[in-house]
Amino acid sequence: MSLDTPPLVPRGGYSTTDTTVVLVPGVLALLPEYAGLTDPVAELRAACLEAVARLGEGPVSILADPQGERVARALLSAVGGFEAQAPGRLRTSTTDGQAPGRLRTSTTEGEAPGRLRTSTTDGQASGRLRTSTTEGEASGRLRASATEGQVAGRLRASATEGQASGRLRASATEGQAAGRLRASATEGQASGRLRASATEGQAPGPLRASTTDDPVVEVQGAPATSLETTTASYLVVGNGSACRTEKAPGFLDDRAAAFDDALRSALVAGDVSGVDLALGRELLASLDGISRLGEILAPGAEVTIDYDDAPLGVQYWVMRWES
Amino acid sequence: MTLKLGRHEFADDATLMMAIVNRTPDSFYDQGATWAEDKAFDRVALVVEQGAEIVDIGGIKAAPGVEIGAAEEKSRVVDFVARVRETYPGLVISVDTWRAEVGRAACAAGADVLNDAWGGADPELVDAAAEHDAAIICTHTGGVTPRTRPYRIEYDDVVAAAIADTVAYAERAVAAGVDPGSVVIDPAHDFGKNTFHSLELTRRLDEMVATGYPVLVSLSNKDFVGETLDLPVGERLTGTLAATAVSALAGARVYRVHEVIETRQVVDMVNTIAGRRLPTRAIRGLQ
Repeated sequence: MSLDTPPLVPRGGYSTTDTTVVLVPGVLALLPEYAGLTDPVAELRAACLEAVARLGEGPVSILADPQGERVARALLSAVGGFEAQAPGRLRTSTTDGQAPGRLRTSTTEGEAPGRLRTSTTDGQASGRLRTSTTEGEASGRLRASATEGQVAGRLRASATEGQASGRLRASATEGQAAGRLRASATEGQASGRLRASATEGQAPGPLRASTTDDPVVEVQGAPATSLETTTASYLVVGNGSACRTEKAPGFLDDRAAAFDDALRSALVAGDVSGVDLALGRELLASLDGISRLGEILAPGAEVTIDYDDAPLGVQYWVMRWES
Repeated sequence: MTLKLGRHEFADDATLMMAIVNRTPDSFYDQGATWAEDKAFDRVALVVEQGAEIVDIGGIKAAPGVEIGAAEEKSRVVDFVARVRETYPGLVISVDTWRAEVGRAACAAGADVLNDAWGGADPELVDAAAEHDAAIICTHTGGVTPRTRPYRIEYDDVVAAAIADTVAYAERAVAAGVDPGSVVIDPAHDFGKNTFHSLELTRRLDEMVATGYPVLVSLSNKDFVGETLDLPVGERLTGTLAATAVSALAGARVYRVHEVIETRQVVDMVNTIAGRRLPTRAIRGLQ
């Protein structure tokens, strides 16, 4: 899953950022299909669920290898705030009272990776919608909500045979923007309809758009406040070595404890650039997601360690970074 | 349908161990080892510890022998049931009797189940169960007289006969007022059957399961196992467990047994293989 580039910077508006990153280990025993009558990782599971619940109900980006992504989806489903088919990222920005700036979402596992972008400037809107599908058919749905100056958004998208239709809804409280976007596409082209409304006179009025080949958006309604919102939640799946004891999956490796200590320090510092990835792979550490932490961790993010143990010969951490 | 055994209820996918407790001086397997009441009570304590959900208390051995009247049977069973009831409120108490008079007294003393091993020889036994909201085990014996051995009995289709008789018995029980969720059927291996009959019933047990009634199997150390392997009582556990495994795969729900631990392991293993039960604790390769 790729990460989005930052949203457009609004002119004359304000911006807020609320980023939460959670790290969990890619323990397959956390998956419901591997459940037994008793839970061999009950304490770890509890820590994972508690941390994942803090990611909120909005879209969550997953950084993981394929197995870790399954673990992530299972945990997100278990906490109930996630519509399992759409790990995604939603960004919305407005300037001069216009509604949704930019929205992206993607899905995997036979559903559509969908991509939607819109941007507005100076009271007008140009919209751009992109969708793509794999495995022939696709449908995706994404919801996001926010309060206190943020935007709540809702996205629905579906695609068949390389075509796509999408729908976006957004709402906000306390004078912020509420928007709604609907879009559909056929034969590689797109027609979209964007609607937005707001309370207390703040944000954009109705906005409608349709596109064919090159997107064209017609705007109705009065400009209102400026707004940019970025909400980001990330679930990173990874763990330390699997060589901590003779009964560990990778048997005992004398280098494992030191590696895990170094990795722990790097995670706590929020800087994994110095981690010896080659050694880690030799020690069966799961680092695909962890190695990308640098892309998303903000400097000075507050770190919390919820779990730190190696009960089965594998080093597990549950950590949170909040900024 | 939830299985309701007197005071107790069990989920659709639950398998139950019914441990045999003989209050007899002459039963084939233990030769009177638990004839004394305290010995029988010790046996109850043991099987409870081993995880049995049900005890099946019997005052008369199945094989021919000295005639035991209803009064004597009650004296062996009823007070003992009351003692077990008081000590183990969570335990299902079954009484192995064909007599309505004994069944009534046992239910009044706390029994939850009437296990009629003799296929409805006393037509009033269903009334006794209904009066006390007890469950009933409906067995197939081919219509033989209680405590007789089969002699040259043949069936056109033993499985069809077992299904027809046990389902008819079950319907009679329900008509008499027994809760439909409290009726269990049992092909009754060895009862009114030669070894070939019991083997075929085992082989085709899925047909009995398909009736929808929960199926009880009583295989433990029986002659069809002994004749199959040419082994005496006391050396039939392995054969019993093999028959148990086949029955479990077919979907039997209740297992009337002498050996609780071994049977439980076999039933759990088979049901887990069959995908009806989860492993107890799975971590291998999943760390």
